[in-house]
Amino acid sequence: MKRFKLISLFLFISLALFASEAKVGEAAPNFTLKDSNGNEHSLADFKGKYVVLEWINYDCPFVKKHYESGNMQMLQEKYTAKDVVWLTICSSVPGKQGNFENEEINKRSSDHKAKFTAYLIDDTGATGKAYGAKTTPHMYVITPKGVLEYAGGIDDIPSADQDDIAKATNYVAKALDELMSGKEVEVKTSKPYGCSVKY
Amino acid sequence: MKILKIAAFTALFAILNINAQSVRTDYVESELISEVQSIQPGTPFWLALRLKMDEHWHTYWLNAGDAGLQTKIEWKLPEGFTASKIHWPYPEKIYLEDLANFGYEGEVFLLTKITPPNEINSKEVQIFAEASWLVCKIECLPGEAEHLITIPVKSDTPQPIQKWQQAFADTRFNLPLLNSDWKITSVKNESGVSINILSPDQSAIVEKIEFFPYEGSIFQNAVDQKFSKKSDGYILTIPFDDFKVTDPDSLKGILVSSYGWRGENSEKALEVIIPFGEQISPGLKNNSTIWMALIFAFIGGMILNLMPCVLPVLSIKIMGFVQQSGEDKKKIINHGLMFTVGVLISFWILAGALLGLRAGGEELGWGFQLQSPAFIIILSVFLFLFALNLFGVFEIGTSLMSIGSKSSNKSGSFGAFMSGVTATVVATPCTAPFMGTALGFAIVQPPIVTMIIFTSLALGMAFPYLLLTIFPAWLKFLPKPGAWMETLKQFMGFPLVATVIWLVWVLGLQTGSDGVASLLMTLLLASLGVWIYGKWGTFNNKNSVKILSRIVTVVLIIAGLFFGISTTASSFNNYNTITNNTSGVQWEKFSQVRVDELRAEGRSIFIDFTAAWCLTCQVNERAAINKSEVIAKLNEKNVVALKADWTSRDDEITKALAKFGRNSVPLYVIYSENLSEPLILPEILTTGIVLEALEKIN
Repeated sequence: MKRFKLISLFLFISLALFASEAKVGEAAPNFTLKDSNGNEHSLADFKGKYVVLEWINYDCPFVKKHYESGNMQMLQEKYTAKDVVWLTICSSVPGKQGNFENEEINKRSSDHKAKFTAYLIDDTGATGKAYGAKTTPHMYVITPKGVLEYAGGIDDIPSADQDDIAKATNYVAKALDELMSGKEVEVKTSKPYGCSVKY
Repeated sequence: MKILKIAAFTALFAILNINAQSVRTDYVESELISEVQSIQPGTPFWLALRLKMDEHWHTYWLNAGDAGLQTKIEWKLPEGFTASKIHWPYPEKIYLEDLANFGYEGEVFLLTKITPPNEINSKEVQIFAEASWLVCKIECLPGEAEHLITIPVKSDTPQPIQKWQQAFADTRFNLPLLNSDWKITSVKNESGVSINILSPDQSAIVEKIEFFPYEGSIFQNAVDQKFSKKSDGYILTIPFDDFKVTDPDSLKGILVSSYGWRGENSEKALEVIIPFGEQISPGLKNNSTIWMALIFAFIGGMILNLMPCVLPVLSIKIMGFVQQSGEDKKKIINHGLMFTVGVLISFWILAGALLGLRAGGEELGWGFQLQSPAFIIILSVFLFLFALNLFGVFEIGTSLMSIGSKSSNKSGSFGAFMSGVTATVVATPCTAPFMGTALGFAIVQPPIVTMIIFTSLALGMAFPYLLLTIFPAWLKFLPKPGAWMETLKQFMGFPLVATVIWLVWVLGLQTGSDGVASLLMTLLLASLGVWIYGKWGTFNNKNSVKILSRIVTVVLIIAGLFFGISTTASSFNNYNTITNNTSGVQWEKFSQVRVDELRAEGRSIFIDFTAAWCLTCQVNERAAINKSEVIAKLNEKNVVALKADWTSRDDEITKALAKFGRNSVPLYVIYSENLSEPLILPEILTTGIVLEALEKIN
């Protein structure tokens, strides 16, 4: 009996560790991270604005799909122009794929003509785990009130094929458009697809 | 464009023939292989996409888990050929820090069944497949390869290619089974689901069972699924993903057991597609399930009074009411209580027998007694003698006419008790609505819960009767006692004889005409016995005559029963029990193999779980199924009708019923490729319900 209790406790703790804090329809967990230029950003700084979180790993074929086709940059440009804050976050821990020196990040970002607000470095993986980020890309949309309204894939065709982008429904754009026109977000969660986040 | 592409490949690989070449891409060697050396028109055959990954690299299952992507094959087949979906062997869980993926390391064969048309005009056919996958170690790379194989067409039976025989056999062994003896149910709550896995075999020592869901982003993949043993099986608990994309209404996926689902070291994977808490009723939550089962059992018990098999007993009860309306209140309430006790005790005996036999490993369900010829014989004799008693062939001490006599208080109670027993006994072939689900639930519960549910069922059945005895004022609508009662009493014998005729018919289906003759012989001996009792055994005869005639009566009844049971036992089980009472619908005999086969072919199936002794089933067949509109619709939709006849013991059918959380007939199930889950029709059918259901399939 004692052993059973111990095991239960252990399971409970491990469950709690795995469970992310972020929940759709609730306040998005705050975080403070440095960007690739050494500046600190907190989610709390952006109260009053829509925020998009994008998990990234430049070497992942699914990230390549959306950057080499220009799809991600197009989204970043379109929505930052509408005053949306676009935070691209890398949770690759040191030594794992996707973890780069700042110089390399900035080089790759400018090569891609990326239009995000900032590229944040989460090299402990803490923020990624708080949000339950599983794949690159993995997308989140947060309202000006700080409520998480969308979590999931970038679109509805899970593939690494650029040709599929035109055929797919982009969930991030859909959620932002719906929120901005005062509507309820129709698809609040979807299955994210891509490479695993390199924790 | 398609044709051009195929043509181009045909030209390129024309020399290749059946030994198509493997293609090497990043970290993966891929190849399309055929199981057979040649194909025969109309005979399905299997192809495999062989993927051999470099060390530490993996490709993915149909649900990739937290990340990754399933392998895909796009077929370009000659005209008239069709390809099935991929038959996936079970995957392994591949952990990457806090994430878990479902996939394959090493080498995997993804099987596809190809069905050629009945006529092929060429000497060989070419099959082209475009395979694409994602291969990952920690990093990931998408890969793709185009494969073409040419297979000769011959009229003789295809021969396997020896080189790959073992690989195909091993892969098949790793495909999920579609059913097993294990009983699996699942309940959903806020935080996740728990799966109840009941072992049919106490010696099975299962170290681990893991669930792999077919759909992603519903469950957490990386947590250790909590697996624990309980007295009669195992429990597996799986938490939901924090961002679950849908709220599932059924559990869909495979269970992988370290032990094997058909005995030790047998197949490890089992497909489970079970609605949550189906054993109760859709939409019920875990904590309330037992309460809901109790309520359903109670309502079911009440409705049972209205079922066709209880009708003859209703007539007995009406007699009782009439009799009581002349008595005082206390006695009437006493009768009501005795009736309730009679029902209760019978249900407890029934539940006890069911539990006892199940513990002994028997596959039994509600109405199981009627699968036993011996039971049918005993019941027939009981009802027939009752009818003779009503006709006045003999009178026993508890005569219905002895109202007001001093002994009637005691014997009247006994009569009420016995009519409770009778009501239960004849009610067993019926499954009322609500009852099926409650009983199905009861049967997979611990014995104490099973007993409580049966108790609730019994109380439900006795309730209306008890209510009337507590408020006898409600009986005033019944006419006053008088001479007409004797006429009514005699008339009531006829419904009983009708019931006996039906039982004779049931026995005839189980044992043929020999069994019928034996039963009629038994009835003859027993009726002769009670006639002698009626003539010489009553109190106005001399004591010696009385005693002798009573002995003769008992001997005749016992001899009759002995004769009937012993002669039918030999003819039982060798007899074909298909009930041929429905001309029109082209029934095929049910077997799980046939169902799997038809499903693999993508055919729609209508299954009628029935039994000759199930009156509801018979009524449904005549009134709702065997109608020209239904037959036309079945033909139009190209549906195969399967009849699962449970008249006699049949473990396969019992298991099939259990798959739907049932242990009683009727049950009507429709499978169709365009339905994600089999459609279950209500227990009471109308032509409209059947047509509407058939309308939902392609």
